[in-house]
Amino acid sequence: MTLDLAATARRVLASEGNAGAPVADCAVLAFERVTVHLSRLVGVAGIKTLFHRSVVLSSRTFPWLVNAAGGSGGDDPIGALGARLADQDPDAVADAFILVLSTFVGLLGRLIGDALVLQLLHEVWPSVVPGDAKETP
Amino acid sequence: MTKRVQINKLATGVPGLDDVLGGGLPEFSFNVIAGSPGCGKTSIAHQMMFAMATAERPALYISILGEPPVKMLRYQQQYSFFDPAKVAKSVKFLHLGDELIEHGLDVVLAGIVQEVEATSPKLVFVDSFRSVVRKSTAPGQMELQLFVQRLALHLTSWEATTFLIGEYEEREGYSNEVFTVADGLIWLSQATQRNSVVRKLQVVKLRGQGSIPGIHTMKMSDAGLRVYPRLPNPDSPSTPAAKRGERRKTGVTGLDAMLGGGIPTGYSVMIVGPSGSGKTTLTNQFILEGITEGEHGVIAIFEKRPDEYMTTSPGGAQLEKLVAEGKLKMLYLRPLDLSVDETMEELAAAVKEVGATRVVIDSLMGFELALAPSFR
Repeated sequence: MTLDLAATARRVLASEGNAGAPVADCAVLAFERVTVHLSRLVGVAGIKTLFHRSVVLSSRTFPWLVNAAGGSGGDDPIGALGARLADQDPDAVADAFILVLSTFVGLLGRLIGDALVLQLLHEVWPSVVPGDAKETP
Repeated sequence: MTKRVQINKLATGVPGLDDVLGGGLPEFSFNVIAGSPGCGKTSIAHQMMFAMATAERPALYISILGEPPVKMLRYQQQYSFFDPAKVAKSVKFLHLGDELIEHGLDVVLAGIVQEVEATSPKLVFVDSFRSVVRKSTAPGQMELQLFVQRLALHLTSWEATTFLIGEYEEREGYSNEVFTVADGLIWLSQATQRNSVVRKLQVVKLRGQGSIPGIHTMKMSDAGLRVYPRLPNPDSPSTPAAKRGERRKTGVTGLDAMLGGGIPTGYSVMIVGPSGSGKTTLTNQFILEGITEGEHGVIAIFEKRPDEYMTTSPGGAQLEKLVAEGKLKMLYLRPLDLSVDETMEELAAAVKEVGATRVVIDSLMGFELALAPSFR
């Protein structure tokens, strides 16, 4: 993927929420936006599974992302993640957000291809992710 | 107001299929693509979708149950027809599997209707439709036929050409309420005989136009599916008739004299003899003689590879030179499970490519051995 995932995730976080909103709220908003959009293509269950895996993988760097039982939220992984993000300081939240989103996008890219993922991310965040793929006539 | 309605025919993008359909797929038709697992239903649907979808004619691919969308997208991208640049633009995907599991057919229909009204797709694909059928057997669910009729009515009103893709076994037959509603029914199958498997396609039904009847051979490659019509396209230009009495010299002086000047143009001649009796020598001479006269030729070989053929057969060095000059085409056809239709198509394409007026098939025995058992 030619996109710098970490830099893109940082810009996504900055683009979400109102000025002065808690970083954790912006992170949850961004996760909800991308998962709702991709669920239309991949299905709710498929996206939940991918998101769960992204959180679990990211918890190797940020162990507090999963609860003591090692779970990442079951049926509502974003809600559960939001609750854990709310307990952290803004810098830690931003770092965790960047890692989880990069992991999620990377996983999806390995499954359905980077070109397709970029198209879909452009639909979600047109001002952040370039949509420069040209359609074949 | 008395003029008859003209139905536009859409080019499907599947080589050979438009001929079988009778010129293309009728616009706004409601079609079913049916067949057993692994026979290419989803692939042919994607191939048609990517070929037909444009900014003016957007497509919507609705997956329900069956192959998970992530896997479907992953595998379909392996075909060269899959154009990621069209995705999210002229090609949109929508997954409604969760709606079917949690709420049933009513909510699936409402989801399709909502999306169609919001985006006005001109091409709609519902995959796998059979999963809808199975789910509909649950008590209290909307009747399947009612669902299909409403879907057909709605999508036709919105001027969408629709495809329902579903797993059906051949033994289930064609008498099904879904097939009754459909304008078109394309049936895919795999014929197994001994160790060979041949893909087949049949247009069981197509309202409003004359499709080519029968079961046609189909091949799958990295480029997608290709259909080989079992009968030539009746609209394709015919070969100009040979002048009465016109003959082609074989290049064997005594033989030409015995034949009254050569082989009559347009004739098929079988050369029979034991191994080593000079059959290949004679046919090579026939080709070389034609090229001397300014004609071009095709040699279809089945038993040896082209380089081996040109190294071992008489006049081989000359043949190699003529191939390089574009005057001769060596057609090597030795895959397993070859079909007669495919061979015909390859030969016709080779003849057209070099403008050949002389064709040699070396040998009929090799050809027969290369054919799938069901064609022998």
